[in-house]
Amino acid sequence: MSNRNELEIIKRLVSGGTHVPPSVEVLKSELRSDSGLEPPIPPPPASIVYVIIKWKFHVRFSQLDKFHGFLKDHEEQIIADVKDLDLGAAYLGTYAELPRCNLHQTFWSYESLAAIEQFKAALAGKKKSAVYKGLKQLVSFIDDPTMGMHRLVRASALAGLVTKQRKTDPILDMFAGNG
Amino acid sequence: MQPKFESPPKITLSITNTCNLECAHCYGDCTKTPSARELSTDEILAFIDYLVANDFIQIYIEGGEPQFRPDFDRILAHCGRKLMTLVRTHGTLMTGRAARAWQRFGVGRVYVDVMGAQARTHDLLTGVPGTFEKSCTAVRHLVDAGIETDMLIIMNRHNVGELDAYLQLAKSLGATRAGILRLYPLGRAKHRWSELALSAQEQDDAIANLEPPAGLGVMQSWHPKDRNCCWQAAAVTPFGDSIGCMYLREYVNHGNIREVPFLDTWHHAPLYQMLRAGKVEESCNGCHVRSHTRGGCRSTAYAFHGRWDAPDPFCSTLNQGVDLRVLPTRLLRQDPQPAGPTGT
Amino acid sequence: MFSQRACYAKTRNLRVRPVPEMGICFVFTPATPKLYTLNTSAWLVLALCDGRRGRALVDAYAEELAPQLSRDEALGEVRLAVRDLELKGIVARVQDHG
Repeated sequence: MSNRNELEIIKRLVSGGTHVPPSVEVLKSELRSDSGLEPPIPPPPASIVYVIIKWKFHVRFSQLDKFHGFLKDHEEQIIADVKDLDLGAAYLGTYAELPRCNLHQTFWSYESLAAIEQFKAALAGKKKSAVYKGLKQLVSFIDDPTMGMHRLVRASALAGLVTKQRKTDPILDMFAGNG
Repeated sequence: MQPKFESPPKITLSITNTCNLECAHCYGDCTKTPSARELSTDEILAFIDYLVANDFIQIYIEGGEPQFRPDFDRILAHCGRKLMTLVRTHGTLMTGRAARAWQRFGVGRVYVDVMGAQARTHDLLTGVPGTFEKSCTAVRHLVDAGIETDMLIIMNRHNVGELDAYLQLAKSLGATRAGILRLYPLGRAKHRWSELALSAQEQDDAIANLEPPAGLGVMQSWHPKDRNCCWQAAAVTPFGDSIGCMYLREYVNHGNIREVPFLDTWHHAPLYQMLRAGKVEESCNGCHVRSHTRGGCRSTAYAFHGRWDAPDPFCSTLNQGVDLRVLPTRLLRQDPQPAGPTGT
Repeated sequence: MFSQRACYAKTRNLRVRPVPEMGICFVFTPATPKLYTLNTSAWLVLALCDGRRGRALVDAYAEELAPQLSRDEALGEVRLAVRDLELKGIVARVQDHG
């Protein structure tokens, strides 16, 4: 492979995926059935999860059945609608903690930090859409002053970088003033 | 997603079926006298040149016992600075001088087979008294010469009770890692299977209860480290047969490098391509998620079920009630004829 | 320490094995001897170590990764990557041949 060809190939790879800082790792063949190389970690495809945002909140007991019923009827559609926007955001579902089941966690994933803003902007322009209405209704069940929002980012992406923490969740921001 | 190499970057080359020991578990059923069919020195050197010219970057050399070949130093000198060179040996022929020569040749890592934590076990399995001390000394020589050295043990009924002691031994000798390998129903091992084989539960328990000393890496071949690695497998026998993996030596033959270039077998042998594609009846979710491959080891799947896409019974989630202590009788009738280059 | 004024190139006798289908390359350093896996970004840095100055290396790297990275961020990554590659004997400073 000539230098020029190689560079062209690398440039195509770089432009086709989500950026990960350089890493140079010693490869120690692990002897098992074969002196097998560990499968090289492939480059992150477009759908790699880069950021996970977790909401943690209580739902009032009086609303629990209604909330769970809402999820049963609408959650699959929300998942599909968010995915259809094709903005690098994914709604991963809302989960209840056993055994009491009134404490919930909702998970979102984003391919990049930029995807968060892109998703927020897209939603803001679709206030009549089913996805906007579905999310608004989901958030309406959250009446919890102790609600927490946690952001997780792929640790490998932090190598050598300074992380800029966001202080607010853009989706909650959007619905906060709408009652 | 199934990982895939357009062409393999590394290869296993078994350079001889000869050995000075008489191991109970010998997969090659090795002898002291070489077969006339073994690749000559020139053929091996030419094949190494072929590998370099075709962008291979690592070679793993095993046998039989590689040091039993009189030309082995010449082979190592030829590949040591061109390919990341790994060698597997039982070490009984190793000297301090040889270890220093290997270091000068550029050998990157050596795996030394030590079959137990004590002489009684090891020597019983190798069939030759005094070999335990020699193999342990080999580890010390290689470590002293500055070569990264690992120890390997094939777990069986004779040594399963001393694995923790084995790990301590490896650490004390200066090994970087210890590898605990499965027993395969090949060669001499399959004819002594009832003596050597452990049940699936016994094997799983042994692995689950390991207590490695701090600082020693441990490689092991059980769930979830029992992935199907055919996707990357490239291997050539001492007779020049391209077989993908040395554990498939009794079942396949994708073509002989005296007749066809190795990469022709990689690109065109139907069975080789099929095995690398990783299609199996059933995959273990854990292995699939972690390693993007399915179904466990194809060699043991084929050995116990007679089908290439069968689940590997050594995987605890795919065992399906197979008693690993009992071999299918078809394996014992005679050596299974290798599937020819057409893959049938 | 990485210098934008120094020139960088691969060391002699290095073997590089691209695996574009997996977005990585393997590098064998015979002197040590060790085998390394470089991810796409590190591979790009290595490919750009063709005798050019550090500043040109950073410029080229930043150009390929814009707008994902700013030039400052690119400088940070290149600084760390080149240092790492130097320590591992994969690249070295070379004379400027103009």
